[in-house]
Amino acid sequence: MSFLFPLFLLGALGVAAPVWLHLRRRQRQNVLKFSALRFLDDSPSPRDMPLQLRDLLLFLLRMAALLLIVVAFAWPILGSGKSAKQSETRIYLLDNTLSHRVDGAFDKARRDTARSIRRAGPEVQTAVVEIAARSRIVVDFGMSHEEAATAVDSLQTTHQRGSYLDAFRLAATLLDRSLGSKRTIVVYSDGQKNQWSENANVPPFLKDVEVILAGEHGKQNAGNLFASNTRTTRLPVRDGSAVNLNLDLGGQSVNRTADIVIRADGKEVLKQQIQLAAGQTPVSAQWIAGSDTWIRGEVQISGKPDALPLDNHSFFAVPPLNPGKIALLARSHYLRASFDPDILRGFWDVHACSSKGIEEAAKADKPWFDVVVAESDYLQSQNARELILKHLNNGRGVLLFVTRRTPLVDGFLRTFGLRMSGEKTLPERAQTFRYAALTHPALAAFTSPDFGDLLGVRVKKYERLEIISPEKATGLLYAGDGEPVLFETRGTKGKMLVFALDMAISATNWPLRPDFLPFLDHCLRYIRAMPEEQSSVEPGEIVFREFEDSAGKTFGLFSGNTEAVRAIADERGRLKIAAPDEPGIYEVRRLEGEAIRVEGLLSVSSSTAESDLEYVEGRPAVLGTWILPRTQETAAAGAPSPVTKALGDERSWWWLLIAGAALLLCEMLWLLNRRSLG
Amino acid sequence: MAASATPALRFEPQQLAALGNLQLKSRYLVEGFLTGIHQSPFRGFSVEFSEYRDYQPGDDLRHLDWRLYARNDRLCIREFEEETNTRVYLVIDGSGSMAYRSDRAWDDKIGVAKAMAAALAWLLLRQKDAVGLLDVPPSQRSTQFGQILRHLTSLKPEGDAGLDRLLAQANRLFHRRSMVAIFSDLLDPSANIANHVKELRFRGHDVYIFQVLDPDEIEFPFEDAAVFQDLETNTIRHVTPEKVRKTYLQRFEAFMETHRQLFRDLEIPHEVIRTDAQPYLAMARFLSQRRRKA
Repeated sequence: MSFLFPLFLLGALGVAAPVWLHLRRRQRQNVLKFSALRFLDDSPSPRDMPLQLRDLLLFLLRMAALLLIVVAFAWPILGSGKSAKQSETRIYLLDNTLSHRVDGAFDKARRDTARSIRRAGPEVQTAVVEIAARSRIVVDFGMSHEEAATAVDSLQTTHQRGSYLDAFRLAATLLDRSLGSKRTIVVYSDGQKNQWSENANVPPFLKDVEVILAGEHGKQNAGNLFASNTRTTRLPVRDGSAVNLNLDLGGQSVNRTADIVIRADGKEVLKQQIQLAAGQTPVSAQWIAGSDTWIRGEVQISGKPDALPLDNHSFFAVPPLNPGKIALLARSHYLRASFDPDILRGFWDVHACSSKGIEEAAKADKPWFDVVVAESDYLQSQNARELILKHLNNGRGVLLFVTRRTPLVDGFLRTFGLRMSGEKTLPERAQTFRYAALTHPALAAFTSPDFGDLLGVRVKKYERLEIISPEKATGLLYAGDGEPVLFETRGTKGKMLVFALDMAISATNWPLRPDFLPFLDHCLRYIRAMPEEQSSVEPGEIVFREFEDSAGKTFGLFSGNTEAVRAIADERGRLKIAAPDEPGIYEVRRLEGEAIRVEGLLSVSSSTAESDLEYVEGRPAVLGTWILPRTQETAAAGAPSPVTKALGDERSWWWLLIAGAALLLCEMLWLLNRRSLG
Repeated sequence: MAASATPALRFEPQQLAALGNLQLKSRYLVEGFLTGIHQSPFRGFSVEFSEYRDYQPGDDLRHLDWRLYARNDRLCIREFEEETNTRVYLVIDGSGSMAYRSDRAWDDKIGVAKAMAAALAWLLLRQKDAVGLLDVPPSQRSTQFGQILRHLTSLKPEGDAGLDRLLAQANRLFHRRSMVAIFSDLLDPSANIANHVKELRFRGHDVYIFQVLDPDEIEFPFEDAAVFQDLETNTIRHVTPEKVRKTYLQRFEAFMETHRQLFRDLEIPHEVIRTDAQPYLAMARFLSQRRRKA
C-alpha cells in the first residue's frame, strides 16, 4: 500500500487533540445562583484526580475517527496493479444513423467495433458512444471487454439523425475521467458530409486526443432517391377542404426517372412517373377532403439506382380546419360587407354582436370567440370597452377601426399610448402610403407582388393618432404625409392592431381592392396567435405538446393498437415526448383509466439530411479545429495525473472517509444520549 | 408536624407550587386560612363580616338588614360594616435575591411574598379596609383587588438595591398613619434599611415585617463544591460547603439577631416566613395586630 498524499499523514498529529482533551478536561463545576453570597468566602477545592483518562471507549472512538479521516485524505492506494497497467483509453463512436445503413455499413461497423474491443488487451480502457438523435454511452469504463462487446453486438439499427459534435463532446467528458496515458477516439461512421459540416464552429475542445476514422466511407454519387421538404396546406372549400401537398424529389443527379405514389386516408391521390431534373424536382398534388378530421398520408417513391431504400417512404398528417371565431362590433357598410360570414366561411366564423351579446360576452369567463373586430363607435359602450380589455388581457386579439373622435374613444386609446388629434384630409398627390413595416407578419405578404400592391391603395382622409408612449404603440403603416395610420399596441397579453382609417369609400379605396380581404385575413391570423403545432417530426426528436386539462395526465403514441412511447404531462400541462424510431403515423392518445381519447396525430419520417449521401474525402477538415494542438505544458505532463488515475480504481478512500464519519456520528450520538440521561 | 397532616389548616406545598396564577395562589392561601381559623385560637379576628346581632331599641335603622327581615321576620343589625377605616400598605421587596428558590420551597421568595400579599389584600378588602401598594393608592373598592393583583403579577425580581429604594419611597409617599406590611428577605446590604424603618415608625406608621427566607439560606445544606453566583451582583465565589458552612451559619445568625434586635427596639412585629412552610400563623398575627389598631 502506498499513499498518494503522504504529507497528509502529518494530520495524524491531530490525534493528540483527544488525548489533550481527555487529560486536560476538568470536571465541570456546577454554577449555583444564590442569594446570601454576602455570608460566604471563597474556598476553591483542588482538582480531584489529575491527569486521569475518563471514558476510555469514547477516547478510543475519537482517536479512531481522526486516524481514519487522516489516512483517507492521504489517499492510500492498494496495490492491485490494475490501474498501473491501463496505458490507453479508447473510446469508440459508433454512427447509428440512417445513412450508415447503406449497404449494411452499420452492421459491419458494429461487428468491427465489437471485435476491436474483444481484441483490446487489459491495458486498454474502452467505452462506446452511440451516435443517434441523442448520443448516449453504451459502454462505460467499468465494464469488461466481453461485456462491452456484447453490449455493442446487441445495438439495434435506427432511422435517426445524429450529431457528431454531441458524440465527441460526450467522448470528451469520458476522457476527462479516463486512466490511459494514450487517449484515442475511434470513429466508425460513413463520413457523411453534412454531419461533419454542421456545428463546425462550436468545437468540443479535445485535448491530447488522437482521432482515428475507422469506418468505411460511403460511395460517392451512388444515387439515392428521396423526398424532402414535404409541405401541406389545407384550405376551406365549399364542401370540405382542399389539400395541397408540395415536396421535392432528390436523386443525386444520377436518377433519370422515379415513380411516386401519394396516398391520403388510404386512397391514392397521385401515382406518377416523374422525370427528375438536376438538383431537386418539385412535385405537387392537390385533392379534396373533408374539413373536420385529420388526414393521414404517405409518400412512396421508387426508382433505380437507390442506395438507401429506407428513406423512400415518408409520412404526413394534416390537422383539420379550425376556423377562427370573430365577434364583429361594426355598423359601417364596408366592414359589414368585408366580414360577411359567407365570404369568410371556412376561414373565419363571423358573429355580429348586438348590445346584449356584447354584455354577455363581457361577463363570460370563457369567451366563444378568438378575435374581436370593433369600430370605435362601439367604444362609447362601457360593456364594449370592458370586453376588449378583458379579451386582450386573456391573450386574445383585437382589430380596432378608429372612425370618430370622442372623449371616451380618446381616453380608451390613451391607455394604449395613442392620442386622437382630429381628422386629416390629404391632398391628391399624397394619397398613397409612404412607409410600411413589411417585416411585420401582418404586412409581410405584400413583399410578394402576387399578393397585392400597397402603392395602389389610396387614402383620402384618416383620423390623426399620435403616439404618446412609444413603448406602448408602434406605427406599422404610414400615410403619404408621413403620419401613421396602422398601429400595433403592446403591454397586454393579446395583440391589438389599430386602424386610423374609416373603411368607407369616402376615406379609402382599400376595401374595393382584391388584396384587402387577404390582408385582413393575415391581420386576423396574426392577432389570433394560435400556437403552431408541429405535426411532422424526425425519429427520436423531442416533441412538446400542450392539451387542455392535461397536467399530470398520461399520454401515449400509438401506431394502430401498438403503444410506442408513453409520457406524463408536467404540472403546466406540457407534454414532452420523444418521437418513436420507426417512421409512421402515430396517434397521440390520452390514457385515463379505460377511456382513451385521440388528441392528435404525429407523423414521423426520417430526416432529409440523412438521405443526402454525400461523403467527405479523406479526413474531415473540421477535425483540425476540434482537436487542440498539443502544447508544451500538456506534452510534458504526458499521462494523466496520478490523481486522475487513482480516481477510477481506488475506492478505499471513500470507505475510509465514510468509516471516519460514521465513527464521529457514533461519538455524537453517544454524547447526546449521555446528556439526555443526565 | 407536617402542615399537610393538620386537617384544620389546608396547606400542601406541592399543590401550591402547581398553581401558576397568583390569584389562584392567594385564593388557596385564603381558603386554607379561613378553614383553619375556625378551629384556631385566632377565631373571629377579622372575618366577622357575616355576623349579625338582634336589633335593640335605639339601634340605627340604617344598619338593619331588611332583606333578612323580609325572609325570616327577624330584625337583625349588620355590625361589621362600620367597624374600620384602616389603610394598609403592602410593600414587596423586588430585589434580585428574592428570586431564589430551593427544591424544597413551594415558590421563590418573591412568589411567596406576592401570594401572601395578595391573600392579605383579599382578606383586608373583605373587611372593608383600604389596601394599597406603593404605586397603587389604598382603596376599599371592589375593583382594588384586581388592580393589586395586576401590579403584583408584573413585579419581577431584579437589581441589587430594592428594599432601600422602596422604603425611601414609602417614607416619601405615606403621609397619613397607616399599617405598612413589608415583605422582604432583608438581605439588602445597604445600611439605610434600619434608618428607613425607623423613619417609618417615627412617622407613626404601624410597620409589620415579613422576612421571607428560603430554607437553603437558613440551613445552608449544600454538600458539593460549586461556584456560587450572587443573584443581585453576579459576583462569583468558588465554595466548598463543608469548609464554609459553620462560618456561614454564624454570620447568618448574627445577621438575623441584628434585625431581631432592631425590630424589637422599634416595637415592630417581625415574622420569618420560610418558603417551604405554611404562612398562616404570620397572617393571623398580622390580622390580629390590625384588629387591635382598628
